[in-house]
Amino acid sequence: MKPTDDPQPNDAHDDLVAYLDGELDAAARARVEARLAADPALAEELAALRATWDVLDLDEAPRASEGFAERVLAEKKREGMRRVWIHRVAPIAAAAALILAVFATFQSMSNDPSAAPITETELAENLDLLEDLDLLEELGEDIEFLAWVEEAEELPW
Amino acid sequence: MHAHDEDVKLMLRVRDGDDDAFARLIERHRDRVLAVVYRYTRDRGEAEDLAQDVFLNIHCTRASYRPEAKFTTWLYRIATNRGINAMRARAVRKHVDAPAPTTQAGEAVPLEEMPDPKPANARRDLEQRELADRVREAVDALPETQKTAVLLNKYEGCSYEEIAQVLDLSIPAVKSLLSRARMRIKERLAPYLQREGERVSR
Repeated sequence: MKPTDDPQPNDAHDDLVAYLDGELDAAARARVEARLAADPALAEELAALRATWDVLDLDEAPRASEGFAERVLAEKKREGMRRVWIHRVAPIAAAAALILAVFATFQSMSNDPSAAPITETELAENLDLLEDLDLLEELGEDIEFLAWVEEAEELPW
Repeated sequence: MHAHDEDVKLMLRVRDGDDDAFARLIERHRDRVLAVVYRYTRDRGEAEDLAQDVFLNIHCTRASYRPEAKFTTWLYRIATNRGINAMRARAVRKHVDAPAPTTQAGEAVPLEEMPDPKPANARRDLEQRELADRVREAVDALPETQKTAVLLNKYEGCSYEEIAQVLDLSIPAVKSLLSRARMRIKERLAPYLQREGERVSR
């Protein structure tokens, strides 16, 4: 058989492996043991399977490095901050930026004698966002503020 | 519910926002998660990143956690999925280690046919490293599902029932899977084990 062929075990072989793994019930275990006692070739196969399984211990895996848990917790916190920024602060900042852009457009049009002037009502409606734009941008980069927003979300308001 | 399961108790606290419980859960399982993903990637750095992802994923989905099975079943399902995805991505990138010396037929060259003028102890160390490499290759050459079953059974000590839950298979299917995997590994390692046996008996 070529090494690349998938071997075709049968029920007896499945039982032999399950026997090694301690996965058979008492009756099935007794059947396997009776066959092993009567068949030296089967006993040899069992020994070979056991030896193969044991040698897999040579495939060692590393242990987690020092500070692994701390790094996961720190990353979790950063993820939380990112979520606050994406879901809470970014939309407000985007809205404010949009309004500022509209305002700037109106302003440039107001320099054009042929353009319609900005109404006081339009300015008044968006004045609060325009006034807060700088503050919003600063807050968006303030980790402590983002942490406060996240904690505040969990309060029973 | 597996209320007696210490991990389940911790996970329920994590679900309620307890970071100390999350830290404890990480400490309890970091090495086994790392071991699982490492055997898919064979790269320590990538494995650490993946293990970190596994725990972040657990934290992210904590609200939907239901203690209906052992915690480790859920953990292994996430870890093996991450590992398999990384292994597939790696295969796509064709980023593989240099292959072992092979014959024209593509079979591994037995160690005694390889030139090695070193003294006995050094040769013995080399033989062990060589055997470890062959073992790794044999594990890595298994089809995905067989490999996952072997990793969970051999290295994590999972029962057939738990492997069946992780892989969403029946117990007889897991039994057959492991039987095939063990036969395949045995055939692949036979030349090396035979030589090892002869060395021991000398």
